[in-house]
Amino acid sequence: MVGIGALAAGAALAACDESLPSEGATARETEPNAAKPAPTPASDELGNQATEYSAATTFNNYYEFTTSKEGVARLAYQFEPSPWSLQVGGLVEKPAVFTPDDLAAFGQEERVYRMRCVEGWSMVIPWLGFPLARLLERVEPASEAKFVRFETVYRPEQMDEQSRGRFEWPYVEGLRIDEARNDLTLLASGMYGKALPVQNGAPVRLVVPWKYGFKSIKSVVSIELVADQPTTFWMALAPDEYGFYANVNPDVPHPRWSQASERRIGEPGRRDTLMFNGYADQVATMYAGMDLAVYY
Amino acid sequence: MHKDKRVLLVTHTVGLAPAVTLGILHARGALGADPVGALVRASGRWALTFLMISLLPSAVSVLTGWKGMLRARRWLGLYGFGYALAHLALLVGLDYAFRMDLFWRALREGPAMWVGLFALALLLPLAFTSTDGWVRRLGPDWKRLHRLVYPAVVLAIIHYAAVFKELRPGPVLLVIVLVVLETARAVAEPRARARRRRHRLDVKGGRARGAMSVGVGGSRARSLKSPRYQRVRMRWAFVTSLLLLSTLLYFVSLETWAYWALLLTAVFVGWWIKV
Repeated sequence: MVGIGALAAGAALAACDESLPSEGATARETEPNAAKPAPTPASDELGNQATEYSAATTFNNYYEFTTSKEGVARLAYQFEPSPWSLQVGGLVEKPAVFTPDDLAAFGQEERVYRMRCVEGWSMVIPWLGFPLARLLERVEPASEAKFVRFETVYRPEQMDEQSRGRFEWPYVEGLRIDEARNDLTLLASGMYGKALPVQNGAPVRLVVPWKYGFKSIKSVVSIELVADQPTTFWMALAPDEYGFYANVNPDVPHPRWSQASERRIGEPGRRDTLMFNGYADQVATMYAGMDLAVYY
Repeated sequence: MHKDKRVLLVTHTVGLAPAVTLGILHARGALGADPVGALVRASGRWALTFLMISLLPSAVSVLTGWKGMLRARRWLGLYGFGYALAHLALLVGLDYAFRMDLFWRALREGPAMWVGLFALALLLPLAFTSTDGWVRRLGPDWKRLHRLVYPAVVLAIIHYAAVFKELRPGPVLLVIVLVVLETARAVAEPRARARRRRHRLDVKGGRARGAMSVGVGGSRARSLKSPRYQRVRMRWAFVTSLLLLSTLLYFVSLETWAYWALLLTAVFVGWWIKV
């Protein structure tokens, strides 16, 4: 076990190491839109180094498989991410079904985002994807569409926890339409220059970096434009603990724990949690005049 | 008494095994992507585990009349306290890296955290008065004081339940085990008291009463009861102990294969000592 872990870590390091140009180059060439010269090893705009690949792929919250963060990667082999189809419909002019190839045609760019979990830990992940806005543009939302509702695949035979009765499946998430159109909001199908591993939400997932991690729904099969605010998985489970917005906010504690600081995986000690996870410049205006303690 | 020594040997082996196992796993980098979190969580689980196990000896003695385990009780409680202290130390020293501003804020804004701290505070006087000297000095008050372990365990379970996003089966199972164990004890207690009274009359001017009257000849006590009642009580004791241990087995996952091998050995040895 330890040996395998060390090998995986070694492989990840090698893949990010500039001293191995051939390996790095091939990894990038296999991606469409390989033109952008991504810095290696990746770091975000604040200079935070990307979390080690081995950590990002062995420490996952993905309740469809199990509530154990270390357990998800061990169960991931049961899941078959292809073939896949993503349905986009609801209040749109041109409803459509997208295959992973169709999605790849939207282009792939690398975005290094901080990921802050509501539990109080965080990572920095180099995603490969494209802004969701581009997809919404394609289907042409109707003027009544005010919210976007996302749904994860329901496959109890491939996802252990879904076959038990503890939770209400499928997983549902939602965004306000302006949030969905924000340039930061990503539809990702890869990370660290590779295809998305199953435990990270293969084949396609949402990434909303200024909100707690649970908003970044994994293995999406349906995107629906709707008029009313959808009830999400966590809202249904505990409405007074998990709100629709779930913006990262150090000054609005969870009812049972503080959100003022976070443990960055792979780093000693703690970091102060930043307002909107450090993306206030790009997103704060969307919430102007809103009491964020009420709309948590 | 060499029987007691064996009980203590088993207790210390069981008590230190988790710390040693965790230390080795940490040194080998085998605690996963979040070793700090893993250490904090594991120490907390072990604290709760030992506090729960420390409730077993008196229940077993009430149910079966076997007092052998009572010798281990104070040590089990102390291990519970020790792991709770380690839990806090790891949280403050490793996780918060002594950023006390953040720690105080986390404490102020997080009921999950201060409930745990309150449980630990309740254990402090118990740990302090756990020596033979304090048992003698406090007399019957010692037993009364040490009933604080019950609110402490309840608070610790609440703390454990509160740190997760949603209700987990672990703490729920612990509550069930606690209720079954204490119900069994409450049902058996009056009869056990009557038994003690009879026994005291039997053994004229017998040994000192109270919590520390350990190692009373079990065979003699047992011979005073009807075989049918004896069987019922044994079954109760067996079922509750098994329930407790299997729940803890479920609840303390991960790092613990070596530990459970040790614990099973301890249970077998304990069984053997009893006879």
